[in-house]
Amino acid sequence: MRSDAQQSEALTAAPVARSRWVWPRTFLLLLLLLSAIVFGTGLGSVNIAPEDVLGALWRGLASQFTGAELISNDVIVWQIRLPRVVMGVLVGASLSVCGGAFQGVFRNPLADPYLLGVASGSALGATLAIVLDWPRALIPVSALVLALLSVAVTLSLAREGRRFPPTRLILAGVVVGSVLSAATTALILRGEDRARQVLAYTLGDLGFSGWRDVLTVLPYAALGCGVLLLLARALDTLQLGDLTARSLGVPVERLRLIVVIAASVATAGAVAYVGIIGFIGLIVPHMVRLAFGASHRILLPLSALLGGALLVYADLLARTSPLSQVGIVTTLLGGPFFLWLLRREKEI
Amino acid sequence: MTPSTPLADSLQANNLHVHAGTFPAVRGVSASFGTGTFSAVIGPNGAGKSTLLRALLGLNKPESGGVCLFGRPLQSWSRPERSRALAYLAQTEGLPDSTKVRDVVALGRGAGDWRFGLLPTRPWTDDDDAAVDSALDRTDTRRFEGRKVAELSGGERQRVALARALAGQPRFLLLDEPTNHLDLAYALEVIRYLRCEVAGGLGVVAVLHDLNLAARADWLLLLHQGEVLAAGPPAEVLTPENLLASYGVRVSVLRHGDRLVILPED
Amino acid sequence: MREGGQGATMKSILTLTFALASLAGATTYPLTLTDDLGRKVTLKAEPQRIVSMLPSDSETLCAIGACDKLVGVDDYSDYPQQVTKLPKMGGLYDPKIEAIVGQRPDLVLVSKYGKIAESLTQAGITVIAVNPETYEEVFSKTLVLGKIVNREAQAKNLVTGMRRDIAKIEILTKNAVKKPTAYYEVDPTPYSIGPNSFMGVLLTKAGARNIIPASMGDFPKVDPEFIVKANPQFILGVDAKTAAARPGWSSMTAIKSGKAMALPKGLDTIFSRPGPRMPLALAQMAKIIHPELFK
Repeated sequence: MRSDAQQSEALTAAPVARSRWVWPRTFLLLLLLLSAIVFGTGLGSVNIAPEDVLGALWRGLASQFTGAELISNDVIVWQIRLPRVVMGVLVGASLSVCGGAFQGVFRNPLADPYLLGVASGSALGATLAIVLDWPRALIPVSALVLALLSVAVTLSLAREGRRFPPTRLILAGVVVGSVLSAATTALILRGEDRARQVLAYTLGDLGFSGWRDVLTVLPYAALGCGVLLLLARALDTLQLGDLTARSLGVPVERLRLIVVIAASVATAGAVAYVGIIGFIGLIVPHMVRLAFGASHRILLPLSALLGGALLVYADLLARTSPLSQVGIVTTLLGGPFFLWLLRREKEI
Repeated sequence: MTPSTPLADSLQANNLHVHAGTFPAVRGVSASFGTGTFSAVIGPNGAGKSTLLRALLGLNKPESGGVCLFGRPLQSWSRPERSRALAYLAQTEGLPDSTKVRDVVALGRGAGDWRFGLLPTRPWTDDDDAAVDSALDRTDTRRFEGRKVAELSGGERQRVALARALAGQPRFLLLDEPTNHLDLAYALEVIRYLRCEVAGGLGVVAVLHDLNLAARADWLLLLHQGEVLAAGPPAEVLTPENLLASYGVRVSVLRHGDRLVILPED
Repeated sequence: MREGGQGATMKSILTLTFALASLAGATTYPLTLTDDLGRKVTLKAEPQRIVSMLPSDSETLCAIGACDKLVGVDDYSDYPQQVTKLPKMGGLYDPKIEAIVGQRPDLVLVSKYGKIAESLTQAGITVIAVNPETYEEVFSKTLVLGKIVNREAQAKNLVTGMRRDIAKIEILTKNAVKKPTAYYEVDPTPYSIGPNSFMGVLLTKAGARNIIPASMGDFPKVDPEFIVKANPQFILGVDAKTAAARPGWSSMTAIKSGKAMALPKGLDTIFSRPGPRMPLALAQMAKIIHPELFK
């Protein structure tokens, strides 16, 4: 067991005592993600036969090189469904990885990617852009700027000398979050004719995610999640406690700061176009921890797979049912699941 | 109070002043802890024991004075060197519940040589495995290395925590009340494991509450209000006069075989 | 009817004319009716100081000659010119209750939505929800308003006039050779309109075929791929640039043929307002969809 497989993950620097179940289950998650992509692309409010979907994918891919114009169903599959599915994977993966990292770095199982005012900051930024009728391209920029700003405010409120104690961070995040939410509500009330659009945004919607949006979000997701995945081993060490981690050579405050910034970048990117999608970032890491163990080197990448798959399925349900918005679906399904999880944890 | 072991082989505090928050918790402590010695730090609550321990580890910045490890000031040691030489077992070590025992122990190999202390750059080697195996063996935790921490009893957890601390093959192990919350049997067990390590050359510095357990140490440091009240072999430190001065309690110190027994008189 | 003692000749004549006109059905007070919130409300006398919290109600009141009874309107009432000079009483979600009470109204007309009815009623003010939503309700609620303010004859005249104006347009569009398909966007979430909503009815009467089936409801949220698949000849309510920038939309017929447009300023308001200017909205919409019929 510890030989060839070990070499390939040399840089992860320590063996996780893998049960022989990890690989088959990882494979299962990959299958789940793959099936989500297949169904997400194949199904929708317009019925398109499977062979036509395949043909559309082929012609869509070809059109990138030939410049040929797509028509009818090809447009739906290649320019609407596929980017929407890819966006779902990106957003689901980002939120889940950030959730896992936040839960780890604050050693708080209730932490989610929207902690520290990231979500309310992004929402305010996006609302501002929508109410002021700025061009679509400026929505994510505005969301990002305000998200990072609110994180900066949260961090400075929580600061205690050179340290950021987790409890103070979370409390400061709650305070900043509610102030920003109030500001967002005030803005919504001012621009009443756009209220519904803003409301749709704050509920989370993958509606008009095109390739351009996907390409805009991709760098944020890649950068944020990439950094978090690299920090997995340090996060594992942090689980022993701040002092112990420091005695083992982990610069805990630096780690906390980097995780917060990286997660904010990935989350703000995910929130920018799509809005606030609840519960995915909270629940997915718990599901993975339950099934695969708590090591962040397993938890974070597998959360990305599961989160991506679940969000695509939730969106599929949203656009083919009267639930209408993916944020509503995740919250409706996520809430009860989370309660079940809480009960279960108590029993252990 | 004078260092009984040679300078080059010890962890030394020189006129150390450390604040806990704004409170001067350690006020001018000088002491020397040797390798291959079981040292215990005792004293009433608030005497500055834990603060001293953290300062010895380099986790607290002293206001003045300093710590020397093997004759070199601690701050001149690089983070990797320091974290390898000194291991710490916190009062309540947070063992992640859903992690397997072997994975927890492997964490003890440390992050010292990672880039920025965050990014592992060195491949995991057979030496690392051997160190983990050895730590598991020496604490008798090998047989449940595949189990999750959540499934362990309190005593077993503490042994896993000990294995984690030993996995880094430190020269000194500093423990903050390692026997807290443990039944007498488990407490004695921990002391026994530590004894074995000391015999193997490890320097142990343990903050202990139970004076009868502390009496089993080789060398004691009695703190009172951040200052050293007495230091030396148990027989010299555990006197009724010292204990009355520090704890404010009248005690009798009895000899039972080669062991000291502390009996409160009230 | 109350009469001013110092009445000038002009005023007496006017009053006389009104009295004659409403001879057919002068409202008798106290008047009891069930409003759109399902509440039973009694009016003791003909209201003289009215606050309207719905732009369409403000318009209707003015169109039936009760404009001078208005003492306050909501922020969005902007027609006719007269009402813009009245004190503003806030919007649906942020009504200024104190300002409303301060006007000492004897009647406040409110929407079904929002929550001011209860607090105003507790303040001892008569509140009636008159909230036209469907096409037919635009007419029936006009008659209700006529009854409430004792302008029944005028209300009947208004309804007859509106029906006549609408019929004039419909005669043209009904016989149009080709009826283009159309998608109307209420807001960019996107929400659209079903054929049974009053806007949907107007769209159909303007000679367009709404791509939204009745089964989707009156104001459905639409999946973008559905719109692309339907490929309507008109995209209304989205400007061409925004529409073309949406994923997969640039190849749609309406966009290529320049028939994706935001509604002209003014039309966007009256098209979405279930009030007396509905025939005007219909005429303008019909001109957009069938320019050939109005040469």
